[in-house]
Amino acid sequence: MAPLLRSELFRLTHRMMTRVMLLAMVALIVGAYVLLWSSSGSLSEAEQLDQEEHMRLTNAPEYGMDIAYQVGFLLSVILASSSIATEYGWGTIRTVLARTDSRSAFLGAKLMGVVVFIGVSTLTGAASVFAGSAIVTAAGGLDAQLDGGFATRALLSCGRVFVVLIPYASLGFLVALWSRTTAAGIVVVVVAFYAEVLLTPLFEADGAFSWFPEDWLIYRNVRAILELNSPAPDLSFPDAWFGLGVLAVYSTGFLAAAFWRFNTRDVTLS
Amino acid sequence: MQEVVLRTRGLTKRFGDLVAVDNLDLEVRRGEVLGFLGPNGSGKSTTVGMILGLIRPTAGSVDRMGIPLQRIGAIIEGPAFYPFLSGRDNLRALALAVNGMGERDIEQVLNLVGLGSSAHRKYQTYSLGMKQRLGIASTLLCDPELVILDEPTNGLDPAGQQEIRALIPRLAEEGRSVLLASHLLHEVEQICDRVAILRRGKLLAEGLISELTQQQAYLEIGVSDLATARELLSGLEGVGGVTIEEGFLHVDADASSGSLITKTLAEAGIYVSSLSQKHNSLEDVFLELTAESSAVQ
Repeated sequence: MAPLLRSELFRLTHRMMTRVMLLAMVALIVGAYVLLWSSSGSLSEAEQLDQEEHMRLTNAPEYGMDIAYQVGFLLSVILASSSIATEYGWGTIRTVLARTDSRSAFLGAKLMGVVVFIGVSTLTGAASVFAGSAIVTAAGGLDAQLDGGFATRALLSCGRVFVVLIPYASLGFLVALWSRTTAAGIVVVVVAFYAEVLLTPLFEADGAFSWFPEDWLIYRNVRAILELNSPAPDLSFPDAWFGLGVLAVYSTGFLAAAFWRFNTRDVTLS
Repeated sequence: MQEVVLRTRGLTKRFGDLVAVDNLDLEVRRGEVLGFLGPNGSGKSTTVGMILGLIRPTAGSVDRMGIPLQRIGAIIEGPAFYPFLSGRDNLRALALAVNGMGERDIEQVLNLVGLGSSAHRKYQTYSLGMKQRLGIASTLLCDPELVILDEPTNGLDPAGQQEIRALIPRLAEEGRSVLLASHLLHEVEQICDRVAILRRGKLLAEGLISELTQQQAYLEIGVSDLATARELLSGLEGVGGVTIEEGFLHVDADASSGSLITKTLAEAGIYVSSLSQKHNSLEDVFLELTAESSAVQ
């Protein structure tokens, strides 16, 4: 699989889309910090103090990494879907697969490429959060002192964001592989995400839906893990270890289905 | 007997009710160029797909005689590469994937197909001919033992076509085997040693081109009174059908019957102005075989 992974990474790093997405991530996150800071004039004094506290560099791992997750979510789903669907669209799947003894190795290399991208986008997101926060901290003359545990908190928050990006990217990958179109992968994930975010509170609000398994859905378990970044976690979400387990089951299920489909389907030629 | 590098036995592929390839037995031998002919939809690409493991056979087997897929270069239904990469980077990406050639080898292959000066350009800017050249270059990566080419001269200008027609026999001379799928029968006739003709997934004929065309040899005779000559020769011993085509008699007979034919005509006062043995072109053989097959079905 190593040669296939090298080839995958070569293509990934030479693709304009990858660079554009990472640049967009930087622009969106830094831009969000600057916009939030510049609009703080309309807030009350207490709100301003609260916002300043959240935007300080030392608190970036707690409050800023949520922005990195939001942007990273979309980018990782786009890349995961595009990574496999474009191989069908361009016909390159037959060029590469015709010289590959193992389909699983080909797909494994593709997935490793996606995981590497998710890792890079998490680090880029974190760097952007810290850069945006540093800009605001310096421009606003905020307290720039870093706590002793800053580096550990930053690393842990990166790790949590990385982990929660995997299940949605896996779902996008599966749908794009099955349908052979990038758009289908993105649309299904976005619809699943918003359906869960919007419908879960409705089901929770009415006792008639007590059977609704909200703690077994993806987003609440994503939140369960991201809440660990917060100094005052919302305890209404499941336990983080439970969340990690549920997300691992979803990711494994999506990827197992992708491997099964890929290994049993003919690569038809036209 | 040349070593066989690829063998299919009873190879069959069904898509629902459609039998795309039907019980196909095929052999490719080392150092030969095998023409793989058939009308559109005859099952050529499906066969190639099964040889390369892209399509799973419904029945039968493909034996690549231990040759790993990395050592089989193939263009399947036209070249397909990453549009955002240059020609050179496309070959680098493929070479990386198959643990293949170094930079110098890639340059050599690019120069061989005449892409040396435009290898830095993105694939999406290439003309059809340049894409085809890159496709051929990609088949030569990693010292292939078997090269499978599907319409390799499609989109090339006449000079390019000639280069590729010269390149293919050279590959065979180096001990590589080439499976050439093409609609251009004159091209196949020039390049190939043997041909396999497919229609509706069935193998209609396989053999040396010279054997297939010789099977359909005839005598072309120039005489002044065509109608009388035809009557005289019809039914003569050793003579099959007699037809008049483009001012000549076409007599289904081998060269040894020539003396009897000229004697018979001379005795009737009809003098032969020309007599030559002709054989059908590959195109004639192909059309006849595929038409017969249609009529039967």
